[in-house]
Amino acid sequence: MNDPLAALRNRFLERTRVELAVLRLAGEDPAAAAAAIHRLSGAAGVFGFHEVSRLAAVVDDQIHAGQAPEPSDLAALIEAVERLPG
Amino acid sequence: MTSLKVLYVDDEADIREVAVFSLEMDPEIEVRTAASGPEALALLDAGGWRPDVFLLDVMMPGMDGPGVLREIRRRPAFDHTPAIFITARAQPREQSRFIAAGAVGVIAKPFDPLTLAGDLRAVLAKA
Repeated sequence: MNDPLAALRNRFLERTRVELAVLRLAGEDPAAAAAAIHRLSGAAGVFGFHEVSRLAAVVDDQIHAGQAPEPSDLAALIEAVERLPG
Repeated sequence: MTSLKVLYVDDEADIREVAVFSLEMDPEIEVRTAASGPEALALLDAGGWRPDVFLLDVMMPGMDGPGVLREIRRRPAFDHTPAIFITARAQPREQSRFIAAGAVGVIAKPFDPLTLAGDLRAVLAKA
């Protein structure tokens, strides 16, 4: 079945694969990680990756509350991103 | 056939792309996008293209969605143009806050790309 969003979804996945390294190195560049997390929070769900969106929103809320990301929540997000297709 | 011009403002490039694709599945909708509030205001101030509705992300760095709407309302040409917020915080209490800020409605984020155009029209129909 033709998926009208396939090209956009594939581009999102390509960007996300690049940003996985940013998430893994969040301790070294928190600002870059925060931007990647905010992006995942908003975009992943639009493309149907609801678990990634939900986990990213948890960490995004922590950052917006002025807290450092909870390590276990960040680890769960990274694991979910690693499970994305492609 | 009525055309509907939408200005969609969101700092996330991925979401702007999907929103344009989704909204323009409705052949009567024409979309322009801006990556920030200042970019949107510059587009309005340049004249020549006049949106019928604003679709504004709430959480943006610098000027957030409500801040963008406040600036839009300072422009007499757009002081009554409908605005809709798009946000992950679409619970009823939050929706009331956004309505009080001058929006005609709220669309939950993440949105469904296949229904976004219909969702937008439904909000406008209720306004």
